[in-house]
Amino acid sequence: MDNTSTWSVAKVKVEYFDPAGVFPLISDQLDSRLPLHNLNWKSPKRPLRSIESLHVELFKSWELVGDSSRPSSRQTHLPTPTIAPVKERRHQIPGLRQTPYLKLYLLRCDDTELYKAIHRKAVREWLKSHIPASQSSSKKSTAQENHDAFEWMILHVVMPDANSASEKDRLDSKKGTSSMLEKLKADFNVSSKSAPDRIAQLCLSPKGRDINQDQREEWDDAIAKTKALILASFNLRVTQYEDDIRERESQRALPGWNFCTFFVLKEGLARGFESVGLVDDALAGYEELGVELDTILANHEDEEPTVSFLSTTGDLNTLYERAKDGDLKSDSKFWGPDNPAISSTKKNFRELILANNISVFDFKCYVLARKMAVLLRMSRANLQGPENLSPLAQLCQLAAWSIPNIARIVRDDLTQIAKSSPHDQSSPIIENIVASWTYSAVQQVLDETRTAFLAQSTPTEPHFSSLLKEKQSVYPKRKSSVAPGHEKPVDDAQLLFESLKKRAGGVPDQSSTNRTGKDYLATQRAQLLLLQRRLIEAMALRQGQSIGWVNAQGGEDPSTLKEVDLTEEEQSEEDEEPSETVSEEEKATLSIGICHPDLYNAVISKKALRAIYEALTKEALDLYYISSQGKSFERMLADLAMVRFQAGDYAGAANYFSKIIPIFSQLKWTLIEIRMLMIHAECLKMLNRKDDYARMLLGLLDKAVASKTSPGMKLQSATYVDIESFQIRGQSILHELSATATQLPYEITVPFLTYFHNMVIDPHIKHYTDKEGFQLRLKFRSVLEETIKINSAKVVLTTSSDSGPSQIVLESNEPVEVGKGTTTIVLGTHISTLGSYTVNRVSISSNKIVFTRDLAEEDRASFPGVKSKAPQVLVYPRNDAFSVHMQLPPTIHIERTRDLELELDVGPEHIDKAELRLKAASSGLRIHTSKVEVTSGTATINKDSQGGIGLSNLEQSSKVKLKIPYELDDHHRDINVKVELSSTKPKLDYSSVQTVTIELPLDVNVHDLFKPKHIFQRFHIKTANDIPLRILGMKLHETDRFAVQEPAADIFPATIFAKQPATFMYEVRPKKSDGDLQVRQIANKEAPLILEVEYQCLDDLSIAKILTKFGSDLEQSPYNSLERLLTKFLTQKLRSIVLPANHTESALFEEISVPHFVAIGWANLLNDLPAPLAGELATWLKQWHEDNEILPLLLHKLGSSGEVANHQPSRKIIISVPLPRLQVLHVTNLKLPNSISETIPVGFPITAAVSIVHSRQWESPMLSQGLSETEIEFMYDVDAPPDTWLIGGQRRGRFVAKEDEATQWEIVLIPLRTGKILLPSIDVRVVGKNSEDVSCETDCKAQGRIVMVIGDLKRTNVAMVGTEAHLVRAES
Amino acid sequence: MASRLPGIACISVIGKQNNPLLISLFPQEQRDPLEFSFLLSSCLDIFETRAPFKTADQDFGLLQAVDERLAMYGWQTNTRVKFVIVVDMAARVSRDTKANVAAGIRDADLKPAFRAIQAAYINLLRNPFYTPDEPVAPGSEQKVPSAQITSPAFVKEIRRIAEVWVPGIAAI
Repeated sequence: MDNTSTWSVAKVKVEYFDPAGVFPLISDQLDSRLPLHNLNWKSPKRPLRSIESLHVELFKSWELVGDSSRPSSRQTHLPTPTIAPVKERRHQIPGLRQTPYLKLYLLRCDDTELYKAIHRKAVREWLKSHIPASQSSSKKSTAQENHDAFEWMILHVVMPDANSASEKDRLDSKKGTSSMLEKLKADFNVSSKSAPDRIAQLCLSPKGRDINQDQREEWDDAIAKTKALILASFNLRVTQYEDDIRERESQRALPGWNFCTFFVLKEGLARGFESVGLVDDALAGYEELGVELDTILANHEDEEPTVSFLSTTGDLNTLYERAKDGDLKSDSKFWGPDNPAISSTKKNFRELILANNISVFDFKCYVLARKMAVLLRMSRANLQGPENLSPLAQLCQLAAWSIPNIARIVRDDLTQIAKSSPHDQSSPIIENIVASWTYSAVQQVLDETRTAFLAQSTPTEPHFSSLLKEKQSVYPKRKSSVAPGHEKPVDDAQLLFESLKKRAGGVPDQSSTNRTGKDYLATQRAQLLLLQRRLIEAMALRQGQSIGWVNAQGGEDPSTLKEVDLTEEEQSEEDEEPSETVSEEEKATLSIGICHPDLYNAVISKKALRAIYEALTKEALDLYYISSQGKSFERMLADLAMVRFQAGDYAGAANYFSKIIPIFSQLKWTLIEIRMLMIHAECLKMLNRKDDYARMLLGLLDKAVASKTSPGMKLQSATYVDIESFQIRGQSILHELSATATQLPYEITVPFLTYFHNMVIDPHIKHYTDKEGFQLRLKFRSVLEETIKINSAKVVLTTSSDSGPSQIVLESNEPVEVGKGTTTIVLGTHISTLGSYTVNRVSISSNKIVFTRDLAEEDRASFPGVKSKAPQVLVYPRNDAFSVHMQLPPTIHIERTRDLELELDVGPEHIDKAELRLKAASSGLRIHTSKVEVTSGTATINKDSQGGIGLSNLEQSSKVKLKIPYELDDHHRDINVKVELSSTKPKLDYSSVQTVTIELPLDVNVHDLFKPKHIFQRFHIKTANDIPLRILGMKLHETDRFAVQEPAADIFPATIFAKQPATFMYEVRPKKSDGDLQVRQIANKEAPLILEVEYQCLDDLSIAKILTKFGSDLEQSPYNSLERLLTKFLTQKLRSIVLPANHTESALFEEISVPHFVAIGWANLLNDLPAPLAGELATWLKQWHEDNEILPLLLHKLGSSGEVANHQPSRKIIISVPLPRLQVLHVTNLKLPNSISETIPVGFPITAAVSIVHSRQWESPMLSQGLSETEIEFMYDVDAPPDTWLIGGQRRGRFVAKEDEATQWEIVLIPLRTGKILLPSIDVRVVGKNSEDVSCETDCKAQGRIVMVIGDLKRTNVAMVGTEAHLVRAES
Repeated sequence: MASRLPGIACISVIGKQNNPLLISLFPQEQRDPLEFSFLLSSCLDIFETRAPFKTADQDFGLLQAVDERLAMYGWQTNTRVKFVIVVDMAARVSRDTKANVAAGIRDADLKPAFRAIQAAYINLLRNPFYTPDEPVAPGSEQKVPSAQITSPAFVKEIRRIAEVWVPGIAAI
């Protein structure tokens, strides 16, 4: 029980009177049954209270029977310091005194007779002397008596040796003892039913023998009675107190009511509860008292003060005087374990209270101390088991809440003291004393609650500091905080975080209740540590030192953000002197009144200050870690990071920062985030991590801009931070960024839009006046406050169409100072092309920082269907800009290698040297650039050029035509060729994709008819694409062997329509040489006939007509500069919207109906032009269309000059027409007899002569020689439709013929129907083995001859009905 | 010598996700916003710890005594939006030379202020143009809504509450 006394557990006193000295005999058994367990106290006004264990203190009454004058004395040591002095002064206000609750009479009496004789009287005497008459009789007891109410009990102790001889005797003795018990009960118990049983008996067993069942029951009975009696007396006391309190309370309004007496009374009740272990009720009592005290204090200034307190406290006064006189040792503890800052025993507070002689400070301290004592007791209610942590936590919380309040009272107190003392008011003495008291008080609480907690936590929870891989920095360490040598901790913030995360999500390793208690306690202890830390911070601040984040008052003005002078810091670390900043004198002044070593050290040494601060922070960190208080934990880490930074450990600080910042950032604690970023940035700068530094600065700028631009941000002035105005080492962020960026080895790309808003690209290009290319204007608004220097700007345009270069880069390399507000940058390119382009990317760079906006990416990222944000730029060349046009040459020789004609329209500048590159953009197309020729204009081709065509000396404003041969493997209607021309002087980059339709618009077929003397060649010409053609002329050139006879009629120009092909026939006759027909040459030597066809396509014609008219009109208009653009547009539109049928129509009517304004779709083009211009142009265009609805298409016959040719040169196609080889020609004939008139009747048999002449004259004799030897077998066939002719005789047969052999025979022909009918044809073909080698044709002379067959009628009757004739009867 | 009286140093509205919606300091130029940001951020732990033991009551009372002067009081609405008031025990100078410093302020003293803030906040939510601190759509990159309260009316009302409040006031 000894150890419990140190824990100051209040106990219930039980006094025993032991005249026979039996107590030692029962004390062992009794002790084993103490403390009393499970007492249930039921008071009528309160719910049932269960006292789990009640500590009982037994003490002997030395009183002799009958000697009532002797006071009761106690055992030597008093269990609690709260026990009143031995002889209490009877005061009118009864406080609670440590009077016994139960008085025991230990009776030893084995003999009934003896009892009757002596003991009964002795007991009666004892009762008379101790028990007030009121209690024994049921008279109303006085209040005073009730305050000390107690019960009594007689414990009859039966000795083991009494009648222990035999079993029988035992029984007798039992009987005897039981009769003793009966007697006692009869004598002393009140015979009322409700009265308690005050008699108990204990039979002792002999030494060394265990107690038996009966004895155990006896013991249980005795204990139960004890419990009941203690409760009864307790109840009596409580009731009395409550009555008193009620009474006092009701008098509150009366004058003269004294709070102090009320307080003492009420406290008596609380102490009573405490003594029986009802600590909750005790605490509640003190809570009420605390509140009432506060209420009294609040109403202190009322007219009728219910209490008067001392305005100053003596202790504080003394302290103040000592400090003032320099008598106080600043580096030692004034308040310590011997002189606790918060104590209820230091003075006799209750006496002082009753005497109305107490200061507010003392009073508050007393109440707090008492509460703390109760809570401490609660935590140790279970003496054997582990400490209950919740009350400890409650204690800490109570302290954390109360100490600052009391500190204010201390200050008030001291101010009062100072007022009466002539002393410098500005001296920090008051501040220092207040801080010291607070620090010490908190320290006291921490010390009182520590042991248990640490014992609990360390085995299972590794301290966080150990995770920090640093020496444990608990209190002892901190006391010698000026550590020798600078320790460089290896912090691993990553490890910290992972560990915390694991903890937070992990399964609780202990029972939840204890866990909660521990978390609670850890949190509250951390709170206390923070209170201490705050004092250190304030201390530092008063000296102008910065520690942690508390180094700036008012974040609005960045100039007050005091820079940490690191150079000085480093010095001070080097030479280990505490601090140079504070001189000895200052130190003395600053430290006056300080009476705690920690605070003193913090004042005299910057290093110690930091060490203490860091130790406190770390300990709090540990505690927050244990209790999983994430937010506070983060804050501690942030503080730690800052301390690291201030200590010059930039790497460590940066490591922390990189971990903590995202947490605050994510939850939008903008201010914290930004301030940390600033420090982080500075760390990176000091660590020379340029890349990270630059990115960090960018991030800061980013935030600066974001906070500035978010709507309404400025309203919230507390959260709004003008980040841009922050400085790092005296330099603005932007300046630092620029300086850092130049040192980077590579470029950093950052989003353009973050820093520059309202980006606009003027979509209307501006041509240079003197050179190729164009300009665009990039406009944007900088949201940065400072001016940033832009070295270059770039805009990339792209197009999806393949008509020009796929990408145009516009650049500006002029450095520009971009200040706040709108800036316009003009970017230019020398590229000249035509097409609609999209702004793909915009970038401007300042040193190595490139601000980029990728509009294409933005479009891709946006939802489909959303209108693209990328501006469209219509790019078109100047009127006189360099241009290239590729087409087919006007004359095409079918048999020869085809060429492409490239027409270079040289711009206003003379091109010295250029390189032309042609790239085939169609499959199977090969362009033979090495065989390029200049066909017109002046230019020199440099053959040595690599991969391209080197051109030089292109005259300005001239046209140069080049001819380039090509080959095409695949079949295409159009071929595409990418043409690129680049020149350095003048700077020129031309690029376009040319599309050339290589399909000829006409088809020419030739058909040969061999005659014995000549050949007829028939040419069928038709359109290939349904567009009417105009054949301007046609010529079949004769060769040295063959003469050509042209058609006699003058038929040109002739128009060929889609479904009306034309046929032109020429007669070809071998030329005679020396009067003989020349034999034919061998096939490959014989020159073919050459056919030339000169033609025009109607589409070309009519489009050219429109364009000519349009062009000439445009030239007169103010829109001439747009000529290229408009013409190109119009051409494209005309090509696509005018159909072959329209051309047919034009050809027929010889006039062109120009498509309407709307049909052309000018609006599309106009949209891309600047608004005022577009409007005017639209008006002009509309007018033009109105004026030129119909244009004449002059298709008159060609004169000698050819009017049409003025508009569109004719095209020519040259086709070589080799004459076919023919080996055998049969001339057949079917000759009717001369007697046969023109008309023959049906069914009239005619005898006709069939003749076949075999000729080999068309083949050269040399070749025929071989053949003439060979006999070739032929078959002839007289053929006629079977319903027309009935052929009799040899109508089919084989024959073998030689050169110029002729044969003749007769057949009979019978016509089978009337009308004009053709004679049967006679066809000869080769049969047999040579049939495939020998070419053979038949020239049937009878072909096409007609005979008139009439009906063989004698008479015909015809009836006329009106105008119709009806055959009535015919007779043959 | 004039003594000093308690006054409101800071009123803050903190969103469901523990993101600050409003931090108003009084008088603004005398307070370090960073210090208050840290204090507010770390006091959220206390809300979290105490919330499970709270029933219908929204008043969290004294959260933390920061030091001799500052004490933080909390209130949490049903939608878990938190209001924090930081009281400065020596915010105002009293002409009454013998005003009492010994008596602290009680939790109940802050109730009228909290009620007024809540009323103002409800008013703010009734404004269709205010996007409240709503949960962010799932799958969104942004985990925390950035709905800072910028309504001038609300800010003004908060300032009024801070200026009007004195311990013991019945209603604001």
